[in-house]
Amino acid sequence: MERLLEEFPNDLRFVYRHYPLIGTPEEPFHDKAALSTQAAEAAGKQGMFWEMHDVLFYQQSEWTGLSVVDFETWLIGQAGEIDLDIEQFTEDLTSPELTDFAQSQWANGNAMSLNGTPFLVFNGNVWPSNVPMDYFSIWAVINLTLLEDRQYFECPEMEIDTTAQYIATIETEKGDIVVELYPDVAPLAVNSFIFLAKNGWFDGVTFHRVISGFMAQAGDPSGTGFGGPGYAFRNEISPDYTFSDAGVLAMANAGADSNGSQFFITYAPAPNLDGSYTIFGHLIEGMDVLESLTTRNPAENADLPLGDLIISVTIEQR
Amino acid sequence: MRKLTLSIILLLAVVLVGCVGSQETPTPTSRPAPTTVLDIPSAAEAFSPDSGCTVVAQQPTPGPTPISPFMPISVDEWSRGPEDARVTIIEYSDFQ
Repeated sequence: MERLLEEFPNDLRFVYRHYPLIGTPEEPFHDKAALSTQAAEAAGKQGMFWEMHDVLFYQQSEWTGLSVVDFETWLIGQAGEIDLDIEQFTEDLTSPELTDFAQSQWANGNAMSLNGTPFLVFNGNVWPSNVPMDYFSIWAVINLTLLEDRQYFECPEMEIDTTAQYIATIETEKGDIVVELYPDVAPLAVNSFIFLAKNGWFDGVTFHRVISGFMAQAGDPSGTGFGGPGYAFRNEISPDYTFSDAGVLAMANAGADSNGSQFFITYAPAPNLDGSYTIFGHLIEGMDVLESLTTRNPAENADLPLGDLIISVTIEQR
Repeated sequence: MRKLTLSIILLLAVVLVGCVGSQETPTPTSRPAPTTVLDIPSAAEAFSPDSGCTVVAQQPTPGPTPISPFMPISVDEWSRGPEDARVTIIEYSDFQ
Protein backbone atom coordinates (compact mmCIF):
# COMPACT_ATOMS: atom_id res chain seq x y z
CA MET A 1 0.00 0.00 0.00
CA GLU A 2 2.94 2.24 0.78
CA ARG A 3 4.16 1.88 -2.77
CA LEU A 4 0.70 2.53 -4.22
CA LEU A 5 0.28 5.68 -2.15
CA GLU A 6 3.60 6.90 -3.48
CA GLU A 7 2.63 6.06 -7.02
CA PHE A 8 -0.78 7.77 -6.86
CA PRO A 9 -0.23 10.77 -4.59
CA ASN A 10 -3.28 12.60 -5.92
CA ASP A 11 -5.63 9.79 -6.81
CA LEU A 12 -5.50 7.32 -3.96
CA ARG A 13 -6.85 7.57 -0.44
CA PHE A 14 -6.26 4.75 1.98
CA VAL A 15 -8.35 4.29 5.11
CA TYR A 16 -7.41 1.83 7.85
CA ARG A 17 -10.12 0.22 9.95
CA HIS A 18 -9.50 -2.33 12.65
CA TYR A 19 -10.90 -5.80 12.52
CA PRO A 20 -8.94 -7.54 15.27
CA LEU A 21 -9.71 -11.24 15.13
CA ILE A 22 -10.03 -11.59 18.88
CA GLY A 23 -12.38 -14.54 19.10
CA THR A 24 -14.34 -15.30 22.25
CA PRO A 25 -13.13 -16.03 25.78
CA GLU A 26 -14.00 -19.67 25.17
CA GLU A 27 -12.40 -19.75 21.75
CA PRO A 28 -9.75 -17.08 21.46
CA PHE A 29 -8.38 -16.62 17.97
CA HIS A 30 -5.52 -14.15 17.61
CA ASP A 31 -4.25 -13.65 21.14
CA LYS A 32 -2.46 -10.37 20.39
CA ALA A 33 -5.03 -8.89 18.02
CA ALA A 34 -6.63 -6.71 20.68
CA LEU A 35 -3.39 -5.45 22.14
CA SER A 36 -1.94 -4.57 18.74
CA THR A 37 -5.09 -2.60 17.92
CA GLN A 38 -4.81 -0.81 21.25
CA ALA A 39 -1.14 -0.07 20.58
CA ALA A 40 -1.90 1.63 17.26
CA GLU A 41 -4.68 3.65 18.86
CA ALA A 42 -2.56 4.55 21.87
CA ALA A 43 0.12 5.83 19.48
CA GLY A 44 -2.65 7.58 17.57
CA LYS A 45 -3.54 9.55 20.68
CA GLN A 46 -0.06 11.07 20.35
CA GLY A 47 -0.47 11.61 16.61
CA MET A 48 1.62 8.60 15.65
CA PHE A 49 -0.89 6.03 14.49
CA TRP A 50 0.84 5.38 11.17
CA GLU A 51 4.25 5.06 12.74
CA MET A 52 2.95 2.35 15.06
CA HIS A 53 0.97 0.82 12.21
CA ASP A 54 4.20 0.43 10.28
CA VAL A 55 6.08 -0.97 13.26
CA LEU A 56 3.39 -3.61 13.79
CA PHE A 57 3.04 -4.36 10.11
CA TYR A 58 6.65 -4.55 9.04
CA GLN A 59 8.01 -6.20 12.17
CA GLN A 60 5.22 -8.69 12.57
CA SER A 61 7.56 -11.66 12.52
CA GLU A 62 9.35 -10.26 15.57
CA TRP A 63 6.30 -10.17 17.78
CA THR A 64 3.83 -12.67 16.47
CA GLY A 65 5.34 -15.54 18.47
CA LEU A 66 5.55 -13.64 21.77
CA SER A 67 3.29 -14.19 24.74
CA VAL A 68 0.80 -11.43 25.42
CA VAL A 69 2.84 -10.24 28.40
CA ASP A 70 6.09 -10.16 26.40
CA PHE A 71 4.30 -8.44 23.54
CA GLU A 72 3.21 -5.65 25.85
CA THR A 73 6.83 -5.16 26.91
CA TRP A 74 7.93 -5.25 23.28
CA LEU A 75 5.32 -2.61 22.38
CA ILE A 76 6.48 -0.29 25.11
CA GLY A 77 10.03 -0.69 23.84
CA GLN A 78 8.93 0.16 20.32
CA ALA A 79 7.00 3.16 21.61
CA GLY A 80 10.29 4.45 22.94
CA GLU A 81 11.98 3.83 19.60
CA ILE A 82 9.50 6.06 17.80
CA ASP A 83 9.73 8.71 20.51
CA LEU A 84 6.30 8.38 22.01
CA ASP A 85 5.67 9.58 25.54
CA ILE A 86 6.17 6.14 27.09
CA GLU A 87 4.35 6.77 30.31
CA GLN A 88 1.29 8.04 28.49
CA PHE A 89 1.48 5.22 25.94
CA THR A 90 1.69 2.57 28.67
CA GLU A 91 -1.33 4.04 30.41
CA ASP A 92 -3.40 4.26 27.23
CA LEU A 93 -2.37 0.85 25.92
CA THR A 94 -4.52 -1.09 28.37
CA SER A 95 -7.00 1.62 29.29
CA PRO A 96 -10.66 0.57 29.49
CA GLU A 97 -11.37 2.97 26.64
CA LEU A 98 -9.03 1.24 24.19
CA THR A 99 -9.75 -2.25 25.47
CA ASP A 100 -13.43 -1.65 24.83
CA PHE A 101 -12.61 -0.06 21.51
CA ALA A 102 -10.76 -3.17 20.29
CA GLN A 103 -13.68 -5.37 21.33
CA SER A 104 -16.13 -3.08 19.57
CA GLN A 105 -14.12 -3.23 16.33
CA TRP A 106 -14.12 -7.02 16.47
CA ALA A 107 -17.89 -6.95 17.03
CA ASN A 108 -18.38 -4.43 14.19
CA GLY A 109 -16.50 -6.58 11.72
CA ASN A 110 -18.52 -9.60 12.71
CA ALA A 111 -21.75 -7.66 12.38
CA MET A 112 -20.74 -6.77 8.81
CA SER A 113 -19.86 -10.42 8.13
CA LEU A 114 -16.36 -9.56 6.98
CA ASN A 115 -14.92 -12.80 5.76
CA GLY A 116 -11.38 -12.39 7.07
CA THR A 117 -8.48 -9.98 6.95
CA PRO A 118 -7.26 -8.05 5.19
CA PHE A 119 -10.62 -7.11 3.74
CA LEU A 120 -10.54 -4.42 1.06
CA VAL A 121 -13.31 -2.09 -0.05
CA PHE A 122 -12.45 -0.43 -3.35
CA ASN A 123 -14.55 2.67 -4.06
CA GLY A 124 -17.39 1.16 -2.09
CA ASN A 125 -17.12 -2.34 -3.53
CA VAL A 126 -15.83 -5.43 -1.84
CA TRP A 127 -12.62 -6.61 -3.49
CA PRO A 128 -13.57 -9.87 -5.21
CA SER A 129 -12.20 -12.98 -3.62
CA ASN A 130 -10.91 -14.33 -6.93
CA VAL A 131 -8.63 -11.34 -7.61
CA PRO A 132 -5.30 -11.35 -5.79
CA MET A 133 -4.77 -8.50 -3.34
CA ASP A 134 -1.25 -7.99 -4.59
CA TYR A 135 0.44 -4.82 -5.70
CA PHE A 136 0.00 -5.46 -9.42
CA SER A 137 -3.73 -6.24 -9.25
CA ILE A 138 -4.54 -3.20 -7.14
CA TRP A 139 -2.28 -1.04 -9.32
CA ALA A 140 -4.08 -2.28 -12.45
CA VAL A 141 -7.57 -1.65 -11.08
CA ILE A 142 -6.60 1.85 -9.93
CA ASN A 143 -5.21 2.64 -13.38
CA LEU A 144 -8.30 1.28 -15.08
CA THR A 145 -10.52 3.33 -12.78
CA LEU A 146 -8.55 6.46 -13.65
CA LEU A 147 -8.83 5.58 -17.33
CA GLU A 148 -12.64 5.67 -17.06
CA ASP A 149 -12.40 9.45 -16.89
CA ARG A 150 -10.81 9.54 -20.33
CA GLN A 151 -13.01 7.05 -22.13
CA TYR A 152 -15.43 8.00 -24.89
CA PHE A 153 -19.14 7.34 -24.74
CA GLU A 154 -19.51 7.63 -28.51
CA CYS A 155 -17.82 6.00 -31.45
CA PRO A 156 -15.67 8.40 -33.46
CA GLU A 157 -17.33 9.95 -36.49
CA MET A 158 -16.05 8.56 -39.77
CA GLU A 159 -13.93 11.47 -40.91
CA ILE A 160 -11.14 10.01 -42.98
CA ASP A 161 -10.85 10.05 -46.75
CA THR A 162 -10.46 6.40 -47.71
CA THR A 163 -8.68 7.37 -50.90
CA ALA A 164 -6.08 9.56 -49.22
CA GLN A 165 -2.62 8.56 -48.04
CA TYR A 166 -2.05 8.89 -44.32
CA ILE A 167 1.33 8.82 -42.64
CA ALA A 168 1.52 8.59 -38.85
CA THR A 169 4.64 9.48 -36.91
CA ILE A 170 4.81 7.79 -33.55
CA GLU A 171 7.28 9.89 -31.63
CA THR A 172 8.75 7.83 -28.80
CA GLU A 173 11.39 8.34 -26.15
CA LYS A 174 13.69 6.29 -28.35
CA GLY A 175 12.99 8.13 -31.61
CA ASP A 176 10.37 8.21 -34.35
CA ILE A 177 8.49 5.25 -35.79
CA VAL A 178 6.79 6.18 -39.04
CA VAL A 179 3.92 4.13 -40.41
CA GLU A 180 1.72 4.35 -43.46
CA LEU A 181 -1.93 3.64 -42.77
CA TYR A 182 -4.38 1.70 -44.97
CA PRO A 183 -7.60 3.76 -44.97
CA ASP A 184 -9.05 1.78 -47.84
CA VAL A 185 -8.42 -1.65 -46.28
CA ALA A 186 -9.27 -0.88 -42.65
CA PRO A 187 -11.26 2.36 -42.51
CA LEU A 188 -12.58 1.74 -38.99
CA ALA A 189 -9.15 1.08 -37.55
CA VAL A 190 -7.52 3.97 -39.38
CA ASN A 191 -10.32 6.37 -38.51
CA SER A 192 -10.14 5.41 -34.85
CA PHE A 193 -6.34 5.60 -34.76
CA ILE A 194 -6.38 9.08 -36.31
CA PHE A 195 -9.20 10.20 -34.01
CA LEU A 196 -7.31 9.01 -30.94
CA ALA A 197 -4.01 10.47 -32.14
CA LYS A 198 -5.58 13.87 -32.72
CA ASN A 199 -7.17 13.80 -29.28
CA GLY A 200 -3.88 13.06 -27.57
CA TRP A 201 -4.95 9.60 -26.44
CA PHE A 202 -1.54 8.11 -27.15
CA ASP A 203 0.49 10.86 -25.50
CA GLY A 204 2.48 9.43 -22.63
CA VAL A 205 1.35 5.88 -23.35
CA THR A 206 3.80 3.05 -22.70
CA PHE A 207 4.81 0.29 -25.04
CA HIS A 208 3.57 -2.02 -22.31
CA ARG A 209 4.16 -5.33 -24.04
CA VAL A 210 7.30 -5.76 -26.12
CA ILE A 211 8.37 -9.28 -26.97
CA SER A 212 11.49 -9.58 -29.07
CA GLY A 213 11.10 -11.57 -32.25
CA PHE A 214 7.32 -11.09 -32.05
CA MET A 215 5.83 -7.63 -31.66
CA ALA A 216 5.65 -4.36 -29.70
CA GLN A 217 2.25 -3.36 -28.33
CA ALA A 218 0.95 -0.02 -27.05
CA GLY A 219 -2.16 2.15 -27.02
CA ASP A 220 -3.50 1.61 -23.49
CA PRO A 221 -3.12 4.73 -21.31
CA SER A 222 -3.71 2.65 -18.20
CA GLY A 223 -0.51 0.77 -19.00
CA THR A 224 -2.11 -2.43 -17.80
CA GLY A 225 -2.92 -4.01 -21.14
CA PHE A 226 -6.58 -4.19 -20.13
CA GLY A 227 -7.64 -0.67 -21.10
CA GLY A 228 -9.47 0.70 -24.10
CA PRO A 229 -11.08 3.90 -25.40
CA GLY A 230 -14.64 3.08 -24.34
CA TYR A 231 -15.76 1.81 -27.72
CA ALA A 232 -15.07 -1.29 -29.79
CA PHE A 233 -15.16 -1.78 -33.53
CA ARG A 234 -15.27 -4.68 -35.89
CA ASN A 235 -12.38 -6.59 -37.37
CA GLU A 236 -11.46 -5.64 -40.91
CA ILE A 237 -9.65 -8.58 -42.42
CA SER A 238 -8.40 -8.52 -45.99
CA PRO A 239 -6.88 -11.63 -47.56
CA ASP A 240 -4.47 -9.37 -49.40
CA TYR A 241 -2.76 -8.28 -46.19
CA THR A 242 -1.06 -10.84 -43.99
CA PHE A 243 1.53 -11.02 -41.25
CA SER A 244 4.14 -12.17 -43.70
CA ASP A 245 6.77 -9.66 -42.73
CA ALA A 246 8.20 -7.49 -39.98
CA GLY A 247 6.76 -4.01 -39.59
CA VAL A 248 3.08 -4.90 -39.91
CA LEU A 249 0.84 -2.50 -37.96
CA ALA A 250 -2.30 -4.14 -36.59
CA MET A 251 -4.95 -3.79 -33.91
CA ALA A 252 -4.64 -5.86 -30.74
CA ASN A 253 -7.90 -7.36 -29.59
CA ALA A 254 -9.57 -9.46 -26.93
CA GLY A 255 -11.42 -11.61 -29.44
CA ALA A 256 -13.12 -10.81 -32.71
CA ASP A 257 -14.63 -7.34 -33.10
CA SER A 258 -13.20 -6.01 -29.85
CA ASN A 259 -10.76 -3.53 -31.36
CA GLY A 260 -10.18 -0.44 -29.26
CA SER A 261 -7.01 1.60 -28.99
CA GLN A 262 -4.29 -1.00 -28.54
CA PHE A 263 -2.13 -1.68 -31.55
CA PHE A 264 1.06 -3.56 -32.28
CA ILE A 265 3.88 -3.65 -34.82
CA THR A 266 5.54 -6.94 -35.68
CA TYR A 267 9.25 -7.73 -35.45
CA ALA A 268 9.01 -10.77 -37.70
CA PRO A 269 6.51 -12.70 -39.80
CA ALA A 270 3.66 -14.00 -37.62
CA PRO A 271 1.40 -16.09 -39.85
CA ASN A 272 -0.42 -17.46 -36.79
CA LEU A 273 -2.05 -14.04 -36.47
CA ASP A 274 -3.47 -14.05 -40.00
CA GLY A 275 -7.23 -13.65 -40.14
CA SER A 276 -7.70 -12.72 -36.50
CA TYR A 277 -6.21 -9.25 -36.31
CA THR A 278 -6.97 -6.13 -38.33
CA ILE A 279 -3.93 -5.02 -40.29
CA PHE A 280 -4.16 -1.28 -40.86
CA GLY A 281 -0.71 -0.13 -41.87
CA HIS A 282 2.98 -0.87 -42.11
CA LEU A 283 6.19 0.61 -40.87
CA ILE A 284 8.09 2.75 -43.35
CA GLU A 285 10.76 4.19 -41.08
CA GLY A 286 12.22 3.51 -37.65
CA MET A 287 12.68 -0.24 -37.44
CA ASP A 288 15.82 0.51 -35.41
CA VAL A 289 13.69 2.51 -32.98
CA LEU A 290 11.16 -0.31 -32.76
CA GLU A 291 13.96 -2.80 -32.13
CA SER A 292 15.37 -0.61 -29.36
CA LEU A 293 12.18 -0.57 -27.30
CA THR A 294 12.54 -2.03 -23.82
CA THR A 295 11.30 -5.61 -23.80
CA ARG A 296 8.70 -6.45 -21.19
CA ASN A 297 6.03 -9.07 -20.91
CA PRO A 298 3.26 -8.27 -18.43
CA ALA A 299 2.14 -11.92 -18.49
CA GLU A 300 5.31 -12.85 -16.65
CA ASN A 301 3.99 -10.95 -13.65
CA ALA A 302 7.49 -10.15 -12.48
CA ASP A 303 8.74 -6.70 -11.59
CA LEU A 304 8.89 -5.24 -15.07
CA PRO A 305 11.27 -2.56 -16.28
CA LEU A 306 9.53 0.69 -17.14
CA GLY A 307 8.40 0.67 -20.75
CA ASP A 308 9.26 3.30 -23.32
CA LEU A 309 6.75 6.08 -23.76
CA ILE A 310 5.04 7.47 -26.82
CA ILE A 311 5.43 11.22 -26.71
CA SER A 312 2.81 11.88 -29.36
CA VAL A 313 1.36 10.55 -32.59
CA THR A 314 1.02 12.99 -35.44
CA ILE A 315 -0.86 12.39 -38.67
CA GLU A 316 0.00 13.72 -42.07
CA GLN A 317 -2.46 13.46 -44.95
CA ARG A 318 -1.00 13.40 -48.41
CA MET B 1 -19.83 4.81 -10.83
CA ARG B 2 -19.66 2.10 -8.18
CA LYS B 3 -21.23 -0.33 -10.56
CA LEU B 4 -18.71 0.53 -13.22
CA THR B 5 -15.70 -0.06 -11.04
CA LEU B 6 -17.08 -3.33 -9.82
CA SER B 7 -17.54 -4.53 -13.36
CA ILE B 8 -13.94 -3.65 -14.10
CA ILE B 9 -12.74 -5.58 -11.09
CA LEU B 10 -14.82 -8.57 -12.02
CA LEU B 11 -13.67 -8.48 -15.60
CA LEU B 12 -10.10 -8.10 -14.49
CA ALA B 13 -10.69 -11.21 -12.46
CA VAL B 14 -11.82 -12.99 -15.57
CA VAL B 15 -8.80 -11.83 -17.50
CA LEU B 16 -6.38 -12.69 -14.72
CA VAL B 17 -7.91 -16.09 -14.37
CA GLY B 18 -7.71 -16.38 -18.12
CA CYS B 19 -4.01 -15.57 -18.00
CA VAL B 20 -3.36 -18.30 -15.51
CA GLY B 21 -5.20 -20.74 -17.67
CA SER B 22 -3.38 -19.78 -20.81
CA GLN B 23 -0.01 -20.21 -19.16
CA GLU B 24 -0.56 -23.92 -19.22
CA THR B 25 0.17 -23.89 -22.90
CA PRO B 26 3.41 -22.00 -23.33
CA THR B 27 3.21 -20.04 -26.50
CA PRO B 28 6.02 -19.45 -28.87
CA THR B 29 3.13 -18.17 -30.94
CA SER B 30 1.84 -15.85 -28.24
CA ARG B 31 -0.77 -13.42 -29.38
CA PRO B 32 -1.15 -9.70 -28.90
CA ALA B 33 -4.20 -10.50 -26.91
CA PRO B 34 -5.15 -8.87 -23.65
CA THR B 35 -6.81 -5.61 -24.33
CA THR B 36 -10.05 -4.24 -23.06
CA VAL B 37 -11.61 -5.64 -19.97
CA LEU B 38 -14.81 -3.89 -20.76
CA ASP B 39 -17.72 -6.00 -21.66
CA ILE B 40 -17.76 -6.37 -25.42
CA PRO B 41 -21.24 -7.23 -26.63
CA SER B 42 -21.05 -10.21 -28.90
CA ALA B 43 -24.50 -9.62 -30.36
CA ALA B 44 -24.20 -8.32 -33.88
CA GLU B 45 -26.99 -5.81 -33.36
CA ALA B 46 -24.91 -3.93 -30.81
CA PHE B 47 -22.72 -2.70 -33.64
CA SER B 48 -24.07 0.19 -35.59
CA PRO B 49 -24.38 -0.86 -39.23
CA ASP B 50 -23.06 2.56 -40.24
CA SER B 51 -20.03 2.73 -38.04
CA GLY B 52 -19.21 -0.93 -37.30
CA CYS B 53 -18.59 0.33 -33.81
CA THR B 54 -20.23 0.05 -30.43
CA VAL B 55 -19.82 1.87 -27.14
CA VAL B 56 -18.58 -0.33 -24.33
CA ALA B 57 -17.85 2.22 -21.60
CA GLN B 58 -20.72 2.54 -19.17
CA GLN B 59 -22.05 5.98 -18.41
CA PRO B 60 -22.65 6.62 -14.74
CA THR B 61 -26.42 6.49 -14.50
CA PRO B 62 -28.28 9.30 -12.80
CA GLY B 63 -30.45 8.39 -9.87
CA PRO B 64 -29.88 6.85 -6.50
CA THR B 65 -26.84 4.67 -6.06
CA PRO B 66 -27.15 1.60 -3.91
CA ILE B 67 -26.36 2.27 -0.29
CA SER B 68 -22.98 0.92 0.66
CA PRO B 69 -22.98 -1.38 3.68
CA PHE B 70 -19.71 0.23 4.72
CA MET B 71 -19.73 3.24 6.97
CA PRO B 72 -18.92 6.53 5.29
CA ILE B 73 -15.46 7.77 6.10
CA SER B 74 -15.42 10.23 8.95
CA VAL B 75 -12.85 12.94 9.58
CA ASP B 76 -11.38 11.29 12.64
CA GLU B 77 -10.48 8.03 10.90
CA TRP B 78 -6.94 6.99 10.07
CA SER B 79 -6.42 7.79 6.45
CA ARG B 80 -3.65 8.72 4.05
CA GLY B 81 -3.92 10.46 0.71
CA PRO B 82 -6.19 13.30 -0.36
CA GLU B 83 -9.85 13.33 0.65
CA ASP B 84 -10.94 14.03 -2.91
CA ALA B 85 -8.94 11.14 -4.40
CA ARG B 86 -10.55 9.36 -7.31
CA VAL B 87 -9.95 6.00 -5.63
CA THR B 88 -10.55 5.20 -1.99
CA ILE B 89 -9.50 1.89 -0.52
CA ILE B 90 -10.71 0.96 2.93
CA GLU B 91 -8.81 -1.86 4.55
CA TYR B 92 -10.27 -3.78 7.46
CA SER B 93 -7.36 -5.51 9.03
CA ASP B 94 -5.81 -7.21 11.98
CA PHE B 95 -2.15 -6.57 12.75
CA GLN B 96 -1.62 -10.12 13.93
